[in-house]
Amino acid sequence: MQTKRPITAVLGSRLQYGFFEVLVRCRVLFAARIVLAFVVLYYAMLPHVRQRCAAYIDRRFPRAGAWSRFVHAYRLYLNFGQVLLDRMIAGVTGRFPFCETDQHVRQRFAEAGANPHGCIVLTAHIGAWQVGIAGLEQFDRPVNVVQLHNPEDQGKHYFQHGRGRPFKIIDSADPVGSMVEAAAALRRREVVCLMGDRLHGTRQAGQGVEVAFMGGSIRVPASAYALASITGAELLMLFTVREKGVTRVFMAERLAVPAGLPRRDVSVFQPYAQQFAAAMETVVERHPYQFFNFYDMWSQ
Amino acid sequence: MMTKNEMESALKVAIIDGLRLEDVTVEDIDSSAPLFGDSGLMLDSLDAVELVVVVEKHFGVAIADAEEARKAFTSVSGLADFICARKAQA
Repeated sequence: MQTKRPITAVLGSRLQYGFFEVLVRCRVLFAARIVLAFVVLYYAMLPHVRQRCAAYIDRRFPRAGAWSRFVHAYRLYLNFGQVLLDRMIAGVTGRFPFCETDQHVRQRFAEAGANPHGCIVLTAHIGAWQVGIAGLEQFDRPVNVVQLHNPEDQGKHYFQHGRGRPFKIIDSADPVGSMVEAAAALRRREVVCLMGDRLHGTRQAGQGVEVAFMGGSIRVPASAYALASITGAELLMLFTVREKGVTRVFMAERLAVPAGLPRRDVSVFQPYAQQFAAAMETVVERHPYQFFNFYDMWSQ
Repeated sequence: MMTKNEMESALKVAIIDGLRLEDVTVEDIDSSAPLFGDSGLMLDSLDAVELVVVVEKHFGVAIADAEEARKAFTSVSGLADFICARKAQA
């Protein structure tokens, strides 16, 4: 199966990241954000860049004309740039800004932490997910993120190997070790975070399950539901957004996946995946410029 | 103490039962074929989690982390060697 390359692997050269890093290291963050606005404008004017978010813009703003579509694309990429800049600031300075204002979120984590089989956090490429997940260490337990290692992504370098190392990366491309490592972390009652919105073309849990999303259907991975069913871990879907320059948890809800489901039939996980998709839709309705899947998910 | 052949046969049965592999028989599994990847049994990363449980439950050998799993889960033959070596150490 052919997979589309994520936008982060394409946008932003090492030189551009280096330039922003200099601004961040010099603590001229305001200047960095001004420069970012112009850099994003340049990219937004490139038709092939706008094309990458066209499927999403079409569905989220179905009545938008050509100019409005350009503005929506610009705002989407600008938000993406802001999130990348936040990530760089966190990685370079070692400070991971995380504003958790909702008692409900703390309560959900306390409940999840009581599960002796650990806690799986299921999230998506929405908002400031990496900074948000990094902030989960506030809950006094190590955090592991299962994700595809992409050496071309210059921005991740600052975050994952910078000061503080906010979480441990488990490379999902490892067919033998990735989930064993995740399960071992769960046995230690650590947090394991998986992405629930993108299929990476692996055979993991088949080819995912089909769910309704924004008036169409998309395929999403079933790995998190399967892992929860195998291990008995708590499964918490969690979305973090960037609001007024602050990263905060928008939603934290438990998904009750029964233990021992027959996972060879991947359709057993469809109801839980659909709950996740509905939650993503709720986030996107409230924060339309924080959905960072830059490819046509509906044509997979 | 099981011979290696007996261990391999027992492993094949445990893998089929434990991982609930449908349409796979003991005869279908080549002892030297890879367990993971694009040939052999073509197990996936979630199978690896279940295989850790199967090995501990049926053979009393714990696989502590991903590093050990990579060493152990090469093939049925490789896994049998791993289990025999661990039992010999015990």
